[in-house]
Amino acid sequence: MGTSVSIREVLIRAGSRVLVQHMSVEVGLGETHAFIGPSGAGKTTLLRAVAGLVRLSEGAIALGTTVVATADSEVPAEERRVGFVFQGHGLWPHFNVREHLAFVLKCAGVTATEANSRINTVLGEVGLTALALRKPDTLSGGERQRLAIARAVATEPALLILDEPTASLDPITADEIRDCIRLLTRRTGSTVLLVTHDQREAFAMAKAVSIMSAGRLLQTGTPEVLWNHPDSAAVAQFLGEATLLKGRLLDGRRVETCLGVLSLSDVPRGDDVDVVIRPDDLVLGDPNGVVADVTSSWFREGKYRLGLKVGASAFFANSATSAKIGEQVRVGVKGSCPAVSRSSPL
Amino acid sequence: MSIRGAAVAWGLASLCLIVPLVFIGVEAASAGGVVATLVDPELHRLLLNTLALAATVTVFACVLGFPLGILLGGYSFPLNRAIALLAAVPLLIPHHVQTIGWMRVFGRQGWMTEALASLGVTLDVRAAAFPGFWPGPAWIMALALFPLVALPVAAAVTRLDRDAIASATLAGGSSAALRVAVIPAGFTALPGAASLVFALASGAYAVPSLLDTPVLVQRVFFTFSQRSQGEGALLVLPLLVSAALAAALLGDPWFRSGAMGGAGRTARERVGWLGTAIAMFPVLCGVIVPIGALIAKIVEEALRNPSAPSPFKVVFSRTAASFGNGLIFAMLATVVVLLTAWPLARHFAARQGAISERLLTASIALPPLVLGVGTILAWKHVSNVPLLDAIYRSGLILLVLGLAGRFLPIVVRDLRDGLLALDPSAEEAARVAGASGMRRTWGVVIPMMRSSIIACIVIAFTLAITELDLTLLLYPPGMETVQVRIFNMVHYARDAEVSALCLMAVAFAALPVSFYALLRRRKGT
Repeated sequence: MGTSVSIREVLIRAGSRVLVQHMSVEVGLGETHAFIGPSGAGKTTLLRAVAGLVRLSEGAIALGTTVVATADSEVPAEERRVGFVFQGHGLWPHFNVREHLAFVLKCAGVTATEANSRINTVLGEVGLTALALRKPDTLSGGERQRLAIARAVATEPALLILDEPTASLDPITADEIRDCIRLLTRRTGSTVLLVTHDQREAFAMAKAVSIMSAGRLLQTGTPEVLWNHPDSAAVAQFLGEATLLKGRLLDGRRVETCLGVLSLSDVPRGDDVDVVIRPDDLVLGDPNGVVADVTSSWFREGKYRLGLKVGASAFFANSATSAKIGEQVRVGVKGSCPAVSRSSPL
Repeated sequence: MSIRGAAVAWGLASLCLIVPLVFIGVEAASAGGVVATLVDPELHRLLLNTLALAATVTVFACVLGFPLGILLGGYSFPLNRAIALLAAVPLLIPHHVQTIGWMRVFGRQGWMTEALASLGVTLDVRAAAFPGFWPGPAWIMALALFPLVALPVAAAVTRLDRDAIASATLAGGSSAALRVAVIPAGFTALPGAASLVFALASGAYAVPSLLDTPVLVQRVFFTFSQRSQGEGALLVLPLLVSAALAAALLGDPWFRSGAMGGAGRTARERVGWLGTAIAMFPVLCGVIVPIGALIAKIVEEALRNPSAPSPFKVVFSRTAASFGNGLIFAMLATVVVLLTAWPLARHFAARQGAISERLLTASIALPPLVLGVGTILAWKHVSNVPLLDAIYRSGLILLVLGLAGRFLPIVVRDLRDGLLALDPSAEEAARVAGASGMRRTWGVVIPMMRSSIIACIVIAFTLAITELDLTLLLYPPGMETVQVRIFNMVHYARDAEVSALCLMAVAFAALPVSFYALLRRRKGT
């Protein structure tokens, strides 16, 4: 059974450096919440604080109704009953696969009979039954990751923290690991906090996503909200392949850009706005569109990705057909686009 | 780490290291004639001699050790693995044994001295070539200490990015790689290593004593044991100042260099037999000459008098108890060192760069004689307390504590480095899984540290069993160690017997190291 997680105005310092600045996030019971952002954003630090491995300088963290950490007091990590999958796995070289699980179950006070049954179940779920007597140094990267996950969920923790669970894995193995996590968390009902720098992974696994940068929370929301209504240029760009086109607001939902007059999905603040243009928003060969120079062209995932230039603005478009570099094409914009105010601090 | 464990460890470390220094200060302050002693020109002359000898030893050790380290760390040459193994052996040969071995060749009745005398050339290795320069004693001490330069230099070069060497080679050939990449990498380890050699040389007693080199430690030992403890404590003060200077220079490189991990595994440039010849020279001088000379002396005596009983048998029958005593002291000291070092290493691994850690590290520069004098003075002050009086008089605990204090900084650093090399998330994983501090330590950390812990046991034991300077001051009456026996027998026993005892002592000290090396080889680590 899961737990809710409440992160309130958390500030974490390391010496004079601020790693996390006044973060507040609420995660509901049994939800999966992802934290994404570039390296050094403070994602891992924040979740280590939730697990009790990093002290807070200010603010509070509550698991369910229990406040587990403030700047003055904290429940020790060993008493929080949190499952943690570390980025570097943190496996124990002297234990075999089975002994890893037996150790954590013993720490959790599970009886030997119950532990045996749980070990068999979890090993079956993660596909390590046949490797139960192997030590970590004889396992592949994917198998080690499965073991780290199995160890974290063996005690059926109320909260499972996953730190970059698919980093450094090949795409097929990464998909298998994601499936494995979904299967296990569905059975245990654990709340999941996921750290990743991969927006696709976050959107695929989480109900809500928090975007962080330089220790600050930029925006929290469902994947749909973040994609369609980014608060800032940084959020829009982090979510993927967005080009920001300078524009001048004509009226509430129309803006003049180098690609012509575009309609907006939101009403932005201020007259000067940046329109978020993504490759799939552009239509090539639109007779009403503007003329653009093709600056690059390559094949990717069943489509051609074209680099285009209109005046001083450069952006990418997806196309079913290739184009030659130097060729001119007409390009228009379909539907409405999100826009962010240029006065936004981020 | 539990607070109680840390407190006990700090208490023991203080008892071994800080309390002796405090009591040296107390005794020196209460001694009469402070000014007269400290302004005595003879004291100044001895101090200058000490510093000059230590500086010469340091230069010799760097000249011997630096090229060897560069070759072992950066190049491949015939017999490099064997030479890498032999390069550490001088650390197992106590300085006095090294001296005895060399004196079989260049001493007053040494083969080379006699051969030169027949050619009309007079050689006296004990004499100063000019004021303040004793090449003989400095050479012998350097041969015992050059591994402290060679091994960290090799480790620094081994850690060098191989692509940096390749880039320099592509730009300007092998000589450019040597100039631009390899030598600068080796130099990073040199200041720390040289400071350590200087510190150890300025406080060494055995070699100057055997070769009659007029340095301050000799005067301290004589004054403290024969004349006045107060004056002895006063004379220690200049030694403390020079140790503090060396400690201040003692950088982290020597301690952080660790083992020569990966040596011989990466592709390195081959330098052929020229590399072997250069690398072989210090090994030849530091291992093969002294050990060979000891063996040769036994063979010579056996040839001269074939009916005489084996000197090994004779000397062992007389000194078996000394081996036992050394074993007891070394084992007890190892236990104390390990129990004290573990909580401290855990503490320092969690809080890197603490001032307390730097102070503890610096204490390696303390001359053993100073530690011995301080330990005696400290316990003398509590000798009127009933139980402590028994401890003082038995002397056993004094020597164990002295040895523990002497080698604690080395073991703490090695354990700390081992702890820092562990994946921190391994212990954190146990912690979030609900494991208590004790269960984490025994279930996760200690098994992961097994290799480092065994290495530390071997290091502490070997250093303790080969120690002489401190032992000479602190050994309990009737419990001479084998090193003390060797030191005393030099003056009255037959050369073959002394040589046999030296060889047995070296073999005895090498046993745990050999066992550890075999264990590592079997495990392929």
